Amino acid sequence: MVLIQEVESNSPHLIMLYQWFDREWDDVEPLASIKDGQVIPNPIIALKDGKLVGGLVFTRFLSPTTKAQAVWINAVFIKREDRQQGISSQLINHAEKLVKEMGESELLVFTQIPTLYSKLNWQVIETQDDHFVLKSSLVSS
Amino acid sequence: MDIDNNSLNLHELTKDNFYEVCLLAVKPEQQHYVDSNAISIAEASFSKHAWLRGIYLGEVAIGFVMVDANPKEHQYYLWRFMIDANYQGKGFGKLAIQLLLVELKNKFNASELTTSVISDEMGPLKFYQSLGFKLTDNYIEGREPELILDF
Repeated sequence: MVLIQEVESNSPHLIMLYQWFDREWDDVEPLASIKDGQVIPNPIIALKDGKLVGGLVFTRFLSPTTKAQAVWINAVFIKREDRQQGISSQLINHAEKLVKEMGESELLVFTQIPTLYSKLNWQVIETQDDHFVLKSSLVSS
Repeated sequence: MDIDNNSLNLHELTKDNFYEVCLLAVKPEQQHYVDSNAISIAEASFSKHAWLRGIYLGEVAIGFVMVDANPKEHQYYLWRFMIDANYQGKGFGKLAIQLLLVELKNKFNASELTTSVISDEMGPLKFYQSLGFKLTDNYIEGREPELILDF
């Protein structure tokens, strides 16, 4: 049983999640709830039988289309043994709903795995070196 | 939309750009792995399901892709794929295939792509495997090993 939920930035689960991020990627932006005076949406975590198996965090950065500050998915991580079960899709779906409810005009991601997002109907905006910028169709519509 | 000049993208072929795509070529030693783009475009004109795109870096044509797309049967076969000799070895091939998967998903809701390769040492088998394609037990036209990718 997988439970997807938003957590406040002081949640103890985030300590472990950020340890996983740091092992996976260099230069992960530290957890913050505000950037450039604007609110960053709360992290979303996945719990399986009460234990943390993954999570998704946001940041804010300029949008390549509007040149305004937009919400970006900053990292999505699922523990290796809990992959291939659609948990990342559940996290991303939840993120889209959350960001749409906040009245944001865009939700973007910078990723090397565009198909993770395109299967959820995200659109590619551009490529940057070996990464893709995609945009949620749900938040934009 | 303001697109970065170094963004990779797939363009439809039109009367205005087909010629520049026909001028692209792989390295001389690769020419027995893939037909010329002119032959492919000609062949496409006799096919019901051919889906063609030019691969562009900003506004510059750097490659070509052709898929046999049959949405009724949910079958998508990567029929031709090439990156011009001058643009190889820079990671554009991998990026272009990923872009292709996104387009096939968006346009046809495809979730599986097959292809086949000429299997010799210098051939593209390893390239496709690095993208997650897996060898099946089938051979296309009795000689080219078939590969499949779920996405």
